[in-house]
Amino acid sequence: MDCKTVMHKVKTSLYADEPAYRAIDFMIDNHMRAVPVVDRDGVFVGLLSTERLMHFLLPVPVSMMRGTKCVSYIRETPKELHRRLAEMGTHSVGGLVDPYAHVAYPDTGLIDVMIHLSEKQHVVPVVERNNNKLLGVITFYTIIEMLKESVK
Amino acid sequence: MSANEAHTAASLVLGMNPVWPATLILIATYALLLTEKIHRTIVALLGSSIMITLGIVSQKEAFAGIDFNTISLLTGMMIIVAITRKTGVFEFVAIWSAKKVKANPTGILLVLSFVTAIFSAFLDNLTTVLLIVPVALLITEKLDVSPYPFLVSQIIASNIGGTATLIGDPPNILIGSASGLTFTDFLVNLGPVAGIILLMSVVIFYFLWRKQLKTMPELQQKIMMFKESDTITDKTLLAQCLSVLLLVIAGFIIGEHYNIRPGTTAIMGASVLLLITSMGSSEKVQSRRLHDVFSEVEWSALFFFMGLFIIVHGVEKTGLLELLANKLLSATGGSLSVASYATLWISAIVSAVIDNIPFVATMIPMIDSMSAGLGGPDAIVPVWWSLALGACLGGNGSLLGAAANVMVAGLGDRAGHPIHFVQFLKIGLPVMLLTIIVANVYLSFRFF
Repeated sequence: MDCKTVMHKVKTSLYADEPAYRAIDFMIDNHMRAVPVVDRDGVFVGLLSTERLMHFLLPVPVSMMRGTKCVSYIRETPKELHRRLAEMGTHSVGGLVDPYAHVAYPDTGLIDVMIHLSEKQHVVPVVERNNNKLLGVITFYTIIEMLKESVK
Repeated sequence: MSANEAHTAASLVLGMNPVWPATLILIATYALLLTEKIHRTIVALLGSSIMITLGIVSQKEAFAGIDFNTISLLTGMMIIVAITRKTGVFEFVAIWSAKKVKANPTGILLVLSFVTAIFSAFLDNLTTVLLIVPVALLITEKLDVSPYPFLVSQIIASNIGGTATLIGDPPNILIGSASGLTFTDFLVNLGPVAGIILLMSVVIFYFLWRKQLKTMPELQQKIMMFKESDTITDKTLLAQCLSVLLLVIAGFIIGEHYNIRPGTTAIMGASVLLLITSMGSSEKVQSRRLHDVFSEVEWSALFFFMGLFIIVHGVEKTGLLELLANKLLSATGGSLSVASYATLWISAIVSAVIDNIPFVATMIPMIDSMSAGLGGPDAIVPVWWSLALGACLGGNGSLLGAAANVMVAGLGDRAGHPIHFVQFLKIGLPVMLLTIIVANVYLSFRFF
């Protein structure tokens, strides 16, 4: 099995030039933990996940690479979280995504995607090999749906 | 392999005296390290492999040239620190200190400089800044003050603190291992001057930044609300780590009387800590913990040292370093004081520009060679102190002067507060020159 036979199409796209708040609403409304983000030509620009958004809600010295993780001594107020949420809102969606997210191609074997889903990402975008246009996505649920269909 | 055999082997490859290919390898290594285009470990391993392949040293000789006392000391301390850092004790001390000065920004700047210097004296500088700088950044964020003074003071304090002991900075480890100078020797001879220099630097920090470090009382109150005791999540582990750390330091001091080298003491301490933290756990859990601890050991740094030892050993074998030492000796007119001062200033200037580790590794055999001309191993002890002071304090001369400087700059950059090369130079270079002058005066009063 390869990715093109398993992937499902993305119904509504999230665009890189949209404001960050739209992404948060989009993810809440669709109960999604990770969304592929595209530009207006449909080219994949990165993956936006709740983990990634949570990074922006943390103080920078904690969330940054090699930051301090031993911060149990802090008791923050909702006001401080609001301030960071407001700061996050000033970004466009494109400024929040992980541009190095793993992608698959239509002819990539499903097994490779399954390994990534088991270890790193909740969603693996499937893109065209020559122009990076988003074709669809594969998640754990996509695979289960495909298996249910195959039994029928 | 004798020098003649080495000559023959090298001649077979390049048809020239081995001193030339060895010199070329050394220069190329320095040049590549200076450009920082290729990771320093790759440079050292490549240089050492070429040294062996060309037959300048045999594999057996090359491996014999590796100073395993240094490697063991570094590995042992890395393991102990990897376990200890999980206890949260470093964050505890940083927050506790900040609260002791009522969260006054200038007070925190000064007190964190002392904390970093003290930690740097007993842990490696990189680890210290990695633990303290993010906490300092967090505090500055809460106080809404510029993090720049904190970043710069952390760099300077870590380099000064590292000067004070045998284990504080890699150049000291190299010097101690090669010269046979003990932990106590370092503490007694370099501790006081490092203390004076630290105090002087802290006074400079105070006058330099006290006016711009202003905040509001309600923000200070935020820091005062920090519950530092919450950082300590495992008190048993903390007790185990601190006990082992104290025993290891005691071992460094006592071991020297029983011919137990610091490398053995550090590995013993690391093994004991691994043992007591693993007791009662299943084999699977022990294996996972061991894997976690070993993943925090800086293997690339250890391999860098090994490669470097081989390169320097190869160059030493060709007689080049002895030749340079003789030239240096005649330039100093055989005067111990001139040799000491020259070593101090040259080391400081070179260490401000390039990594001080390869420089010190190259200088060690040269100073060894000068020993006879300067009155023997006991007489040249001040030259060793000059090398240690110059190499460690020279790191403050520029942002590239020490690995800890680059690390702090990287942390600052990631937090959105980059330190620029020239910006640091304006403070780092004058501080470096001032501290070297103090070191020079100290050497002249203490030894000449």
